[in-house]
Amino acid sequence: MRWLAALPVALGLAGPVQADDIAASEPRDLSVTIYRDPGRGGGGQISLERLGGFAVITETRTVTLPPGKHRLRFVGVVDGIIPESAIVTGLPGGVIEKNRDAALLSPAALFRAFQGRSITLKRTSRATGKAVTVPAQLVSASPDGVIFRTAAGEEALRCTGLAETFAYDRAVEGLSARPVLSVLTNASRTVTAEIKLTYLAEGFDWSASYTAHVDGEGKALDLGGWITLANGNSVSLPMARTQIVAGGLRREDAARLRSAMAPVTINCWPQQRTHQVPRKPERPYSLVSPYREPEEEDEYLQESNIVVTGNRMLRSYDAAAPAMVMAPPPPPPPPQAEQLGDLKLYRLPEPTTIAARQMKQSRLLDKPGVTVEPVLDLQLSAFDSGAPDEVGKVDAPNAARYTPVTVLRTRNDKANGLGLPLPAGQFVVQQEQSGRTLPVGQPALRDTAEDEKVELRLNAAIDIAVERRTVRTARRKQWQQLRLSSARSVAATLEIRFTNSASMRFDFGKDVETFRRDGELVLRLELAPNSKRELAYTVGWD
Amino acid sequence: MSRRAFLLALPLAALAAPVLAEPGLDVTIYADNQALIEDRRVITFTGGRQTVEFRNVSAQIRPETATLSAKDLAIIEQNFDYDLLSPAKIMENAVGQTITLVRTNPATGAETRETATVLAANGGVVLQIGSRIEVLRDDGLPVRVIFDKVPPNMRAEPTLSMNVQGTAGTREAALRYLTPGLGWRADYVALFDEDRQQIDVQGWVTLTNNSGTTYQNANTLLVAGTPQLIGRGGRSNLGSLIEAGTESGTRERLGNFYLYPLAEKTTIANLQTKQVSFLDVNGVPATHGYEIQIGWLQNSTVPLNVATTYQFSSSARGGLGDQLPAGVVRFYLRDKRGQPQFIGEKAIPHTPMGSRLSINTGDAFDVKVQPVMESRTRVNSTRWKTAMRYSVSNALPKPVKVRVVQNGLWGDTRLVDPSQPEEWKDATRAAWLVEVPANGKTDLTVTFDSRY
Repeated sequence: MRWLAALPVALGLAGPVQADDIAASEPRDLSVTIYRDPGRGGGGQISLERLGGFAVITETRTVTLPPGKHRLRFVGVVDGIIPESAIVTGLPGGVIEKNRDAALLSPAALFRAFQGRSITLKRTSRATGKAVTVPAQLVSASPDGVIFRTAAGEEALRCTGLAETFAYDRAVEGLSARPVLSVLTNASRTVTAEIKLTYLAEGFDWSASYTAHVDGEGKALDLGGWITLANGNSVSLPMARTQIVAGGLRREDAARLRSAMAPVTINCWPQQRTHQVPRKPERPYSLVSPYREPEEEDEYLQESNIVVTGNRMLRSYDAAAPAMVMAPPPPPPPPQAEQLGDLKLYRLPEPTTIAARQMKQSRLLDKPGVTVEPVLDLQLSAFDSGAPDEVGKVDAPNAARYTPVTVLRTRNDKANGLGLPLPAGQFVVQQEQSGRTLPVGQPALRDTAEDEKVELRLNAAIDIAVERRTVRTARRKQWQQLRLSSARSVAATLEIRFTNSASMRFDFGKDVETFRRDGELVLRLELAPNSKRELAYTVGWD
Repeated sequence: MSRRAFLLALPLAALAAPVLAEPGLDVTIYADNQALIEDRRVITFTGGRQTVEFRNVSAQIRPETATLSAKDLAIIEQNFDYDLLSPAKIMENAVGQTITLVRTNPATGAETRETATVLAANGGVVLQIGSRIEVLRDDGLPVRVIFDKVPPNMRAEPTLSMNVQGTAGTREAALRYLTPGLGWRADYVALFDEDRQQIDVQGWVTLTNNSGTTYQNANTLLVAGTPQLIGRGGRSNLGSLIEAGTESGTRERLGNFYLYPLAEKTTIANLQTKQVSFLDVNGVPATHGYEIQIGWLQNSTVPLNVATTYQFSSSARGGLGDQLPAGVVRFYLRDKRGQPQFIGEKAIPHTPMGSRLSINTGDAFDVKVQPVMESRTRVNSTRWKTAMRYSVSNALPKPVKVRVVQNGLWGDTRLVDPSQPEEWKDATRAAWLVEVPANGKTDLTVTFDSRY
């Protein structure tokens, strides 16, 4: 890749220097604000391969403009730039127009650019290694093949079995290594201006990752949070002031400009040989895949290619793995959320370098001793649709067995040890159980404002069983029965939530605690250790 | 294609009339990926029948829309050749003809020349060399094939050619055609000032060229009026345009279209995105609000995010004072250190002047609404009473007003004892503007008496 990095320099030297083309300085000051993928929901992990978030990047650059009209070029902008979002401020002469050229320098682009122009054909003898150069003209380059003309006549490139290629006498204006953003501006006199370039760029993402250590009883947890941010672009942002924004802001999927040129492929005329029986002889020859002669050199090349790729993949895994497992040491105070309209903005404590294709973590919060209430939670529909039609069928095979889920419930306020905005993110909840720390669930959290309820749904409580059956039905009534059993050695609180119950009348008799919450009827029961319990009740409706 | 490439390519088409100059190029771009190109050139007519070739037309030209007009000119025939030159085509064309083979000895590199006749090019190439028949490169050894000439009907690029007859002389002719691959839309940058309740709006025309051709020094005109769908439906179905305007602007009009001419001639390069400013307004009054739509019988166990909206007008009085072509509005807000930060974007349709716009930039983090169905009782077989409670919570240190809209009130639905008076948006939607104190909560309760 080293030769590629050297290309822009070569282009600048070789191309005809246009008087009105001026490059702005490298960014002197960088600010980046990273937004999460709006479609990722509360949880989910981010992967460097596919980053659906974006960032707003503000670069401060200086430029000296002589009088006249100039094309001011910004080199080194992030490759995921959304060009139509670019804002340039600080130019004394204003912006006449903004351009983004995506015609990139590539083998295909060179072919296309030199169509009809003079090139040099170079043939190297496989036997002697001697190269012969012939002046030629490139007649046509298309997805169907390449044709050139020499003094002898027309020939097709690389249909001969010879090692042949083109050499171009110089690079072409208008082709660049990276998409180039430029503005047209006027200067009435020589000025040195400090300009700010602000643009949206894709290929970034961040997420909040929470770790919660729950004590043995499940009534308190130590909460820690990381900001994990990622840059999937191939441009690094050195010493950037970094912010992240939490909240569900809206993005439009506007059509993006393709930045690729139509490819040029080396295709030849039909090259079947006598030992090759055509698969479908009646089909036109053009569907026969282009013939490629197996050659020793090629095989060797392929083998070495595989080895190199394998090495690279291993290396990248090696590099990525510690970044995800080993979190960097917490910086002094985690950032305070700052109000940005209806969103939350967090500033990383100090400027940081976000390297190309890098994942990075910073502390979001540390809240030890958050009080939580552990509850076993089960949601049932008030109407038992599995009930038999016939009346009086006790122990009918319609009984359904359910397993409740452990939920840690709290409120995001100071009294419970929280009271700060919690951005959406993925939790990893661990609990001390008989001397070991075990993972007990990975719930997702939505954007949670202050004083809002928090519910962390953990794993299923497989030692608690709930069985419901309907023992009798009438036209507007069901006689339902619950059988509860606990194999736990400790007492537990079970909440059964009956949904679709707004128009239902329940009769549980006396001594059973029920209440309505969030539009559901909640039946709250204390389960004694290693016990069984039965509950009969009726559900009626109009 | 640069002009130089065009001139160099000319010897390939020796029969064509030389095209002297390009006195002008007009590009009119519609918002639906369609452009009208008017290419004016000076052509020397011989007086007899001749072929005029246009090589640097759009690579995506729709040839059926092409017309050439000049004084005293009759068009006999118009051809669009896209039988593109390729090795397979050239070999197919050489069937029955003579080609030259150059064989290279793999051991020594020595070359030997032979003349061959192509018998067939089906699957493989069958040659006759002297009195023997051979399959080309059947032994896998290197053989160069040299063709004497390229067939004249094959082109390196799609070419429009016209068979014309005109009275002798040199004069201007105009070629007009439609091409896809050129399109435009508007991009707006809106900076909201929370303290002053104002926005600064800049509008940019963004045009993109994917047509495969560069248009040099073109007079460019953009036409608004053909609705273009940008993006998919968003997370809310609130339309951005809440009241269509009735004012006429100073913009040039053509039938139902508004025209946006670019001030200067510009070069639209292939694969280029170009932006030109067309609107720059400061200090337009704008208001910020919250809105949520609740479905019929919607019950939620968690609070729902409300949409945060910004309202402003495109009127000449107290607004942007211009019609707005369809595009995307990006909203920015200054953070505590004065740096503008992005807070969301929304597509808007073509908007007449004098309209009121409500831009939904996304969810509010701190303001939420939880709809809860408290009870639903049957009065008789066609009449139900549904008690709803909407808990509006505000974690911001300032009071807010939230517009709660209940959808789906079909049939004869009456409101019983709402905790505050409602406002009907239409026959099926009732709305309330709920005031919530700082760090507080307000419950809106209402019972719906619905008869079917």
